[in-house]
Amino acid sequence: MGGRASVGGLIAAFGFVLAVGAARAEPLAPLPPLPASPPEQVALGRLLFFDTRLSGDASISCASCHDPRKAWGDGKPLSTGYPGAEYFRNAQTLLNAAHYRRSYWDGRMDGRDLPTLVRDHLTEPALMQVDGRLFPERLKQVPEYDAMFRRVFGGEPSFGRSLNAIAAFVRTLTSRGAPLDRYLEGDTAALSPAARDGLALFQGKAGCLRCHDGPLLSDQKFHALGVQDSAAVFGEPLRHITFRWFMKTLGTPNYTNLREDVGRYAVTKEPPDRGRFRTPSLRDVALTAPYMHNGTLATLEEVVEFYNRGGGIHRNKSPLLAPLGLGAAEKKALVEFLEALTGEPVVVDPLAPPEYKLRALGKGSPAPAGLVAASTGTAQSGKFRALGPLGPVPVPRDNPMSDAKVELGKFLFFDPRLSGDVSTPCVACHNPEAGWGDGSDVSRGYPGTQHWRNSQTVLNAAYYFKLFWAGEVTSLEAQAVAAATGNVAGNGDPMMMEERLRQIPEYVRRFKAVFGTEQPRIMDAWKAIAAFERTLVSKPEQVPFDRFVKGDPKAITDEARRGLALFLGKAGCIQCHNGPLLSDDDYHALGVPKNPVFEEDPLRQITLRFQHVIRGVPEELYRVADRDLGLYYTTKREADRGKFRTPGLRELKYTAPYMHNGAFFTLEEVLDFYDQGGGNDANKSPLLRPLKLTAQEKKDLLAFLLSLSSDQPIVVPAPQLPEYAVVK
Amino acid sequence: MRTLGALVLSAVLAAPSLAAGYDVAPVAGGGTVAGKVSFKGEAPKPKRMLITKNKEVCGEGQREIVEVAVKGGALGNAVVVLDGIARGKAWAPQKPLLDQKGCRFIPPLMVVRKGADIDILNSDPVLHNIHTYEIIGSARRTLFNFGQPNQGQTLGKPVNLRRGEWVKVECDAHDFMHAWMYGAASPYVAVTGEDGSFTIGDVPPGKYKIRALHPVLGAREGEVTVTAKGKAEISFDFPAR
Repeated sequence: MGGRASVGGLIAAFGFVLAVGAARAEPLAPLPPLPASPPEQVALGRLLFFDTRLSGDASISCASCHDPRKAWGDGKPLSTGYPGAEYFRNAQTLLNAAHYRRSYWDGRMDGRDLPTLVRDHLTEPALMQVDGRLFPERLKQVPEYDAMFRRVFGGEPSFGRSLNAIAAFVRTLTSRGAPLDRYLEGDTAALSPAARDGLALFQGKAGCLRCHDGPLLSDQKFHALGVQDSAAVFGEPLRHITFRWFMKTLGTPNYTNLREDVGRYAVTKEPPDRGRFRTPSLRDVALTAPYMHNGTLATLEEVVEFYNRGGGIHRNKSPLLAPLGLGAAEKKALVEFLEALTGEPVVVDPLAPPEYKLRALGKGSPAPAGLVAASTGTAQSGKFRALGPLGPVPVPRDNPMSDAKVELGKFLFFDPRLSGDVSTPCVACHNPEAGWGDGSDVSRGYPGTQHWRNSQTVLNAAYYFKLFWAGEVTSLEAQAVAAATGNVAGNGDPMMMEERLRQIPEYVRRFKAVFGTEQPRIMDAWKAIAAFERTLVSKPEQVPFDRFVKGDPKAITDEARRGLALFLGKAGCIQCHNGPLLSDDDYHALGVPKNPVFEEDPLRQITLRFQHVIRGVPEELYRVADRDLGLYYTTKREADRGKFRTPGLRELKYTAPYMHNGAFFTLEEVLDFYDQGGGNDANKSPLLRPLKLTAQEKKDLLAFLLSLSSDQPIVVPAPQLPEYAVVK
Repeated sequence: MRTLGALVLSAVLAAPSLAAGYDVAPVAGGGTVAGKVSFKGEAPKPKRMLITKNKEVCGEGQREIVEVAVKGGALGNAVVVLDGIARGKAWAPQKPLLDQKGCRFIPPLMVVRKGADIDILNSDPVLHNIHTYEIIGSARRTLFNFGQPNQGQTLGKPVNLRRGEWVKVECDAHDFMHAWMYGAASPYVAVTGEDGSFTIGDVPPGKYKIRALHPVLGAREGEVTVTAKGKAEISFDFPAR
């Protein structure tokens, strides 16, 4: 070795650290391997990475800002954003992104949790702005995706699975075999003489190693350098809007008057953090121009000269920065060293994403057994689905049952922390001691509100095709989140609730055991709750009528047997109350009398109008709103006003009061109502007519209805909820 | 352990017509009905609910909710009612007050005249949102429901029972706050102490139906004959379910 290289060469060859005035800097080294991603997930994730249908308006994909042809960045000083928004920071390379402990320029998220990082990108209004429930529906419309997800995950496309697949793919984007790495492994020829000089300067006179150390060449900390602010951020309205939304969301004080990117301060609110940004890795830095959080330095030469001057001007500027006094040759050597940090190319060719295909309407993934989409038979045909014991409870393929999941769901069902102000757990309106409803005619609401409908029982809810009185959602999982976040129900913010779960060690442990996540994800809470609800079903051996159907003629009384004949014949109940659940899953108007609470309670009136607002009725209708229009809110068809979903008739013994507004406190009142042919409503079902029942016939019908209830109420004792603990 | 002695038998002194079907007329030479209400068997364990918010006011850990108060075989917090007395002694003069303090309802069982106005006070520096329900069979109906965000706020509300006798008291903001109220048709009502004993005085001589009522355990019936200045004794048993 020549004299010029001797000291530097020795230092480099042994990976020594020799830095002027440094604390303990970590030696440069090749990157350690990351845990391998399952290859089939990687393939799926790669497809999704390039698919624009993962953004709200299907206009941009992950690759739009993390382009493989631009070293997995976008080559712009400031990134673009979602249509209608422009971003206010530089898009960083995804190469080696999985190695960071904190992600983003301001370190605001845990870098280890890649799926959540992906989720943040997908849902952030300034990034991809997609609703996590919408894009899986798009994916399901693509047969290739449907098949891939089933192969890879054993189930249909879902939000969580998509996140995992994309994260698996991103984890594979790492840099290998850079000349520096080969040099550190002993190949002294891997670095040119100039680069070796640059290495020595890097570790010595230039002092770069003090922040750019370790295998990643980043200390993963935050420093202010006095980088000049970008005129574009505050000079272009679309960028400034994004900047403000962002600062506001993070709760940065005085966000409207900021004219500098305050960096980590927005996250920590600590004044010393103002202007600080995360030290980026220098691997592949030659490929990822322009540089800095706002891309104001276009070339490596400019960067080197920036540091040579001692950085810029900022009151929080790191004391590590000072004029370096580098000569032209030294600056050139540094640049050459930085170029030696480029690994083997990581090239991924984008595959054309597969296309939507039409599905046969009414079909699709085979419906789970026990669910029927529409009622069969008419009053004339007389063919109705037979009454009898309920079959096995339907379980969606993307939420299989397990004891541990059910147990977790039970805890969450009783936990008030799954609501906005920690007051209103599911059990508040679905109380086992009140037949898993609320026990009142019109349910209570969130504190400061009242609800506007009767709270239905959870018992056997798993068998309905749709949930809520007007079929507003299509699954128990969807019902759980709608109720927990609904403004007059749980009113919880999903992110807040998720953060709570993450500080309850017992839940962290259980979520990990059930869902495999390091930290609980709120979307999995709804799954656990739904799984718990799927265990709240009538057992045939405990229902007199079911025992009767199974062959025990003594299981029901003579009265009840006569009542069954009336149910099927003179009273005609079977026309809507058919099948094992005794509901046709269809919608009918009965002319149920108004509940006076809407004239008596201001809170009820507020909610009644609020519902009209959020359900999107014409203003004239909102102004005169005085009743619940049921199915109309979904279809906006006049003929659907006042129609509600036929409820099942099991467990009636325990679920008074009855009807969507709890108009009837007793079954006797219900029978009287039907006997008179229902009430007054323009859309009243033609199936309702005066029945002319005798007093004995009403008693018989009542006996039959009661025979559909379990001998004993189905109850679950309240679990002891786990407590918060300080996270270290 | 909360003392069961802190129970309030109270109602409004008002013009006779206010209590439907009951007239106030002084009773001279009235008799007394006394006795004991027992509980046979093992009492159900109190419910325990985790205190998950406002710990600085509500305390920490588990809140015990005693629904069935049994001590040495005696049932406390049961209500004993003499039925069918249309004329008799006056109602107690104080206006009933239900306080929310330390995230508890005080008293946890309060007897009020049906239709009476009661005062609800928030003694805590946190929001309480009282929600009362009339119990109708196995169902219930909201009586009143309102928030009191400020300490010291008091609001009066009538206990307008239509069909039932029992009122469940809850707080929408704190799911571990629970209490009961009983709506009485006449002042001839007593609440059993910790030892299960009760006394009803100034009873006009006559033969009456008497009931022992518990919000969770149900009702027991009997009959007593009260003589002038006499003392009638009766006991009630509630067996474990």
